[in-house]
This record gives sequence, C-alpha cells and structure tokens, in this order.
Amino acid sequence: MNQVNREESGWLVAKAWLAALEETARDFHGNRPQTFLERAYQHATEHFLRTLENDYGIYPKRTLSIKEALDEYIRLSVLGGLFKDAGQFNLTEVNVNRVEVTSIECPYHGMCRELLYSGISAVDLTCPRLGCFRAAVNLLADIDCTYEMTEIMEKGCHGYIERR
Amino acid sequence: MSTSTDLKTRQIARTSDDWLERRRALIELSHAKDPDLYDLFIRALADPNKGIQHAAILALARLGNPEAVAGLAKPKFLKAEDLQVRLATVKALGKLGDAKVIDHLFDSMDDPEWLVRNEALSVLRDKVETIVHNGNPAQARILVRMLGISDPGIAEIAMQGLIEMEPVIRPLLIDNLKNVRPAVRLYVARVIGASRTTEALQYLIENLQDADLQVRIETARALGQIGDTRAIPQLIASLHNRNKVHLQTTIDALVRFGTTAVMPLHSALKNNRDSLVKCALIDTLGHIGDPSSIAILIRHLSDSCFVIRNAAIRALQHFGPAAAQAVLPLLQFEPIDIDELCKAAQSQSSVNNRLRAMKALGDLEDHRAAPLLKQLSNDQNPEVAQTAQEALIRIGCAAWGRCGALMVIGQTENRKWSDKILSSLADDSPHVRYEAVRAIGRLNGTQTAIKLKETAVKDPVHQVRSEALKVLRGMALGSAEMLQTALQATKDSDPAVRLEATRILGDLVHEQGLPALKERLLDPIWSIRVSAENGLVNYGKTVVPQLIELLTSDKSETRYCAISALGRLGDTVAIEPLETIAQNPKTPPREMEIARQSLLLLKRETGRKR
Repeated sequence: MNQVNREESGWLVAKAWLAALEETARDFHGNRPQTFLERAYQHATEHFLRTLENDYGIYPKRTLSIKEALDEYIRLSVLGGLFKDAGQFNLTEVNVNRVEVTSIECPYHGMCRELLYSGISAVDLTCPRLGCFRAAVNLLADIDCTYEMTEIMEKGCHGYIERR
Repeated sequence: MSTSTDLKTRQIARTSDDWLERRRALIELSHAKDPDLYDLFIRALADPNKGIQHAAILALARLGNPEAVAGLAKPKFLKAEDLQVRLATVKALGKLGDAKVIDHLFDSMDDPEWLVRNEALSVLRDKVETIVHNGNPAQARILVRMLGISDPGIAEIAMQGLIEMEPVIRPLLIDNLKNVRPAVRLYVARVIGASRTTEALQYLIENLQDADLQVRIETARALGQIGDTRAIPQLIASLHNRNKVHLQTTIDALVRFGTTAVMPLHSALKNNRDSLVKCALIDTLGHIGDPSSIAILIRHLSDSCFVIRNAAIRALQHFGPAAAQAVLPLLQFEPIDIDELCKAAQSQSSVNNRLRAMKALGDLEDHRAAPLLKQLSNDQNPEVAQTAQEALIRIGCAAWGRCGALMVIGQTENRKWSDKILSSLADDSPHVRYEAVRAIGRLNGTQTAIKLKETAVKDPVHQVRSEALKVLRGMALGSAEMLQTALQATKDSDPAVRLEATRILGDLVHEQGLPALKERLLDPIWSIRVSAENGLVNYGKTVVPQLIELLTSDKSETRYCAISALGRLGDTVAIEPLETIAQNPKTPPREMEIARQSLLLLKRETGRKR
C-alpha cells in the first residue's frame, strides 16, 4: 500500500483546493472566471507574503518594475519553500511594461492540461502561477497588470504579464 | 575409427593429473563429434574442477546428444559460482533441449550476470517461437507460463500462439484468468478478447474488480471486443474508476457496443450523482452518436457543474447540425409578463404566496427575475431566502443551458445559423450575451455582425462589449461600417473596450480615426497607448507632422509614444526635432533614451564601430 509522505501531502491538499477553486469559479462564472480568480490569487499572494513576513521574518523589498517585482517574488517564494529555485522560471523583459514568463516545470500543469483537453483554449486558462505573479507585481511594485497564458508545453507553460 | 593420437587424447582426458591437460584434451575431442565420447564427457561433468566441467559442457553441446539434457539441467551447473559454467549450460540446454528445458531456464532469467540472463532470454524466445510454430495445444501450458515472464517480447509471442490455439485450449485460458501472476491474467484477458469468445464472460466480469489496475484495463478492453451485452452494466459500473487510462478504456469498450449500450447509459446518467462518472457517461454517449441521446445531452447543458456542461457540449459536437437544430428551442422563447409574480414575491401579505411566486419565477427560468431574487435571497425569513436561492439556481442553470446551446451552434461553423442566434444578443444574462458574441464570431456571419456593433457600444457589461469588438475586428468588416462603432467605443469607460476599439482604428487606417488615435496616446492605460502608437505607425509617413506636434505635449507618456512612432516610421524629417530632444540636458532620462533609440533607427545606425 502506498503512503503519501507529509511534504507531498501538503502539495496534494493545496492542488486539490486549487483545482476545486478553479472548478467552482467555472461552475459559477462559466467561461469568464478571470475576474473572480484574479481576486482569489490576489488574496492568496497577500496571505502568503504576510505569513512569510509575520511568522518567518522574511521581508519583501519594494520594487519599481514588473521584472524586479517578479524576481523579488521568486526570491521570497524560494525562501518560503514554494519554489525549488529561481531556475524554475525564465523571465524575459520585452520592455518595462511587459515581461514574458516561462514556467519550466509547473505543479499545476496537469490541471491546465486537463482543461485544455476539455476544449478550453490556452488564452482562457487562468493559470494560478501567473495569476499569483500578477498579484505579486501589484503588491510589490504597485503596478496593475493583466496576464495571459499563450502556450502549454510538455511540462511547463508560457505566458506574459503586461501593465494595464 | 579412432587414430592413435585420438586414443592418446582420450587417455589424457581420463587420467591426466594436470587438469589443464585434461581440459585441453576434452576440448580437442569435442571437435571429433564422436558419439562414443558421450560417456567420457558425461563422466567429466562429475569432475569437481570448474574448468573441466566447463569443457565437458561445451563438448556435450557440440556432440549434440539430447540425452545430455538430463545431466546438464541441474542446479550445480545452472547456479554454479562460475559464470562460464552457467553461461555454457544455458547455451547447451538451448541447443540440446526441447520445449521442456524452459522450466529449467526460468531461474536463469534472474541470474546476477546479464550475459546469462540475455542468453536465457534468447533461448526461451527460440523455444517459444518453436512451440508457436508447431501449434501443439499440449504445449499451451508452457506458453501460458511464458505470459508471466518479465520480457514483454516473449510474452507477446506466447500470446499470439495462444490466440491461434484458443478454440482448443479455452478451459485452460479461463482457468488462468485467476492465475496468481497479474501479467498472466492480463495477457489471458487479451487472448480471450482477441478470440471474442463469450464462454469466459462471467470470469472476465469478475476481473473488472481485479486488484491489479492493468488487469482491470485489459479486461475492460476484452469485454468491449467480445461485445456481449451482458457486460454493459458492469462496464458502466466500472466508470467509477478514477484512473484516466482505465476510464478511457472503459469508455472505448462501451462505445464498441454502439446503440445497444445507449439505453443503459441513459439510465445510468439519470441515476448517477458523481460528476466525473456523469462526464464519462456523457462522453460515451457522444462517441456512440445515437440521435436518441441528443435530448438527454441537451438537458446536461444546464447542469450546475461546469465539467458536466462542458462534457455535454463536447458530446453534442459529435452530432453536428442535428444537435444545433435541437438546441435552438433553448434560445427561442417568448418572454411573458412577470411583473405580477415579482410583486407577489415581494408582498408581505402571505409567506406561502411569496414562496409560490418565487417558485414560479424559478420555473419560468426568466433571467429578468434574477435581481429581485438576489435581493430576496437575503430575506430575514429563512424559508423565503432558501426558496429565492433555489429559484436563482434554476434561472442561472437555464442561462448555462443557453450558453451551451450557443457553443454547440458556434461549433458547427456554418453561417446559416448566425441569424438564428441573434436574439441571444439581447438575453438578460450577460453570460449568454457573451457566448452569443463568441458564437457569431465562429459562425462568421457578416450580416449578423452588424448587430454586434450595437452590442459593442450598448451592452451594459464591459466583457460583452470588448468581446464584441474583438469579434468584429476578427471579421474585418469594411471601414465605413466599423469606423463609427470603433470611434464611439474609444470613449468607453472600460479599458478593455477602449483597447479593442483602438486596435480596430489602427487596422482601419481611416482619416477620421486619426484624431481618436492621437487622443488615445493620452490614455492612462499603457497597452492602449501602445496600440494607439502602433495604429499611428500603420498610417505611414503622412502622420509625421502630427507626431512632431505631439513632441511638445505636456504628458510625458504621450511624448514617449510619439518619439517611438517617429523612429519606427523612418522619415528623416523627424531627425532634427528628435536631436533637439536628445541634446537638451533638461530632457528626462527615459525620454532621452527613447529619442536616442529612435534616432539610431532613423539614421540607420546600428551602434557598431566602423
């Protein structure tokens, strides 16, 4: 009999809740769950950063651009155990107002792929990772952005974050 | 006849005290292939020296007397410490033995040395191929045993052999559906599936509950191949399995039954509450494509679960225009006067009357009642609040049904449907209007697109307006038709709408669009300013004087866009004003940087040293 260890079980529960959140958003908002989920990811990022600061003494730095904010969020998330290392992401600053993000290996990839198979196009995906990146830019650099998925790859995905 | 040298060699092989001499003698004698030497070689096998044993094994293999198998097939050789002895034994058994040696070679498959394992596999493959070639049912038991082997190549060969012998060895196969080895149960299920015999049906059905996942998958596949309708209920029951491969195999198996499976599937869909099972049932019905399923699938377009609604849309796709025709009534309804019911729902006279009115509003599925019911769902009376919520669910789900209907119609990609969904642009639900816009875009009905222009400027929900503009832009209507709509939409309060409108104006390159684009350079939203800049660049060098004028704008973001656009347009007239900016020490650093970049473009300089 297989037994899930505690570390994996944490991820398992997080992914289950996230999938449930996405599914419920689509139950209630059909093909337009973005507004609801953007808000959910904003709250999630706020809680995460606040917990890092209050309970673990990991303080975020204020940043001035989208790229800097993303770098800072990745740094904090590595310290917070959310990401293994910064190499999980490839950030390309097209210009100060647009950063392209490639997630090389994403834990939510399966979830997105399933939605893709069910007939939803890549641009209609609400990627929790990019959603939280967008929220982080808002919180750390005070820049309001939009985000969009452009491609789902074998293990990761590609998208962009752009100033509104 | 033996020569004197030969006799001397035999003597050495028997009596020499030097084991190396004895070994050499044995090997030399092995080339003679003299049947009289058999006893000598067999005796040498008993020699405690490994070198002599090895030579004797080689010699016996060369001699080719099958009787030697009895002497060789012993653990002391097959599990000898010496690798060479083990290897030579496996080779010798392969050369001398018949199919029976397979039993002795099984352990060699797990030998610590890959050379021995590889040789054992190769011998086993030869033997299995021989058995299959001979087609002797008496040896079927050996083939069944080979199904459990770790090498899939050999198991496949054995399986093919069993498929050919199947009618004669059926009881043996049925017995082995309960074999202790999962691999044997799996392959036997395949054999039975390929032979399509119904005799094993009961046992196969039992194996749908097998502890091993692969066995369950192969069993489901086999039941689909056999096609006996008695298996349908059990296959439907196994749709509860959460494993994707198993689920897909079961769906494929049920699809093979075709219309025979439709009635039980309908019944299961009606009685099941598990959303994933429902999705699987809906997928199956879609793939079978029996017209009797259309009505049932349409009902699931209104489900409260997104995954079920989506599955129903996917399934209805398989029916093509028939499904589109069937969903049309969902979109065509005459709104009746609901004022009296709304009044009754709000009145404070009798709770029962209010509840009845709310239920009636829910039954009517009229979206106009939604705002009132939302209000009543917070009523202090819990019964009223509960009934209002239930009515809202009915109204909301009915709207999902209309959305689904529009998606089904949109997927036909046939223009003739576009006129028939026009009324949905005026639906009370924004979700429905949004899907109507998307469906019209897919159908590409240019005539109906004119209606979209109205939606693009008048719809109360900004997502619907921006989607309408996106669709209009995709349809690339003529400039005269689009211009006014886009101009009007550039004044919209929502940034997404203004963005789409700006993009349209950029595409049109119409003289009247120019002032609006210049105005958009002042927009607080970055993406709109960039789209306006792109749009202005589309106008070509004619807009250069106007862009030069914008260089003195008091808005820095506007100046940036104008400088950047001038650089991209490539008119050398812009060099002088840009140089003034670049050389002015009071110019802000960011503006100076953009001016320098634009000048590089204008002077066609790359920055590379000459």
